[in-house]
Amino acid sequence: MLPAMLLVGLGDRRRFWLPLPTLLLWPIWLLGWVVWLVLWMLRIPWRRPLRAALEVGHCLSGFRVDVNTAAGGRIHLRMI
Amino acid sequence: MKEERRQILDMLAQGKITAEDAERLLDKLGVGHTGHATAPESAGRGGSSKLKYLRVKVDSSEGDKVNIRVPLALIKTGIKLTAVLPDDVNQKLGEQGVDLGRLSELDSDELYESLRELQVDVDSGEGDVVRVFCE
Repeated sequence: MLPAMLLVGLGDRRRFWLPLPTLLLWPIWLLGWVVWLVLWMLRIPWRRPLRAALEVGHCLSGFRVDVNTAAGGRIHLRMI
Repeated sequence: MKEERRQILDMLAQGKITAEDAERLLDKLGVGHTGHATAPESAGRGGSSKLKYLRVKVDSSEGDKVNIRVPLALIKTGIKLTAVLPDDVNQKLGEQGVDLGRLSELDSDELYESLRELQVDVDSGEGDVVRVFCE
């Protein structure tokens, strides 16, 4: 499942959340799979790395990075 | 079971039984403290539940905290990205006895099973703590 949103949280005491919808990227992913299908049908090389790159997109859900610095700064990245 | 446990704890609180007696009784009920301690452990790291994430936690002595959660599926798929490496890089690695192509042949179940046992605990003398595990 492709992640629907990349949440970016920044700030110190007052956190600022920036939601970036990755839904906009879904057509690109879809196009990528179409290209892969064409490469596969024509037995053209380079379809394997393309497929791997496309699959990476599907595995990003749940990816999360939280950084809290001693100075109070915070950075959060969450793929949901 | 919950009621019996409460009764034992009440008796302990009232001083009717000693801590050892309470422990023995709880063990008989199968809810001793050792059971509680191992339950989340088996569910998280050593149990039969399917692993989902690789976790990296860093607590520095200066107060910085980093918490990273990487989906294991990403690692499995990332291995396939070795196919992106140029041929001459693969050739050079092959000369050194490294065959990255074998990574993609790994069985995912075997990989997950191996990662289940993964646990890295680093406690530096300066107070930095690093934990790497799967859950």
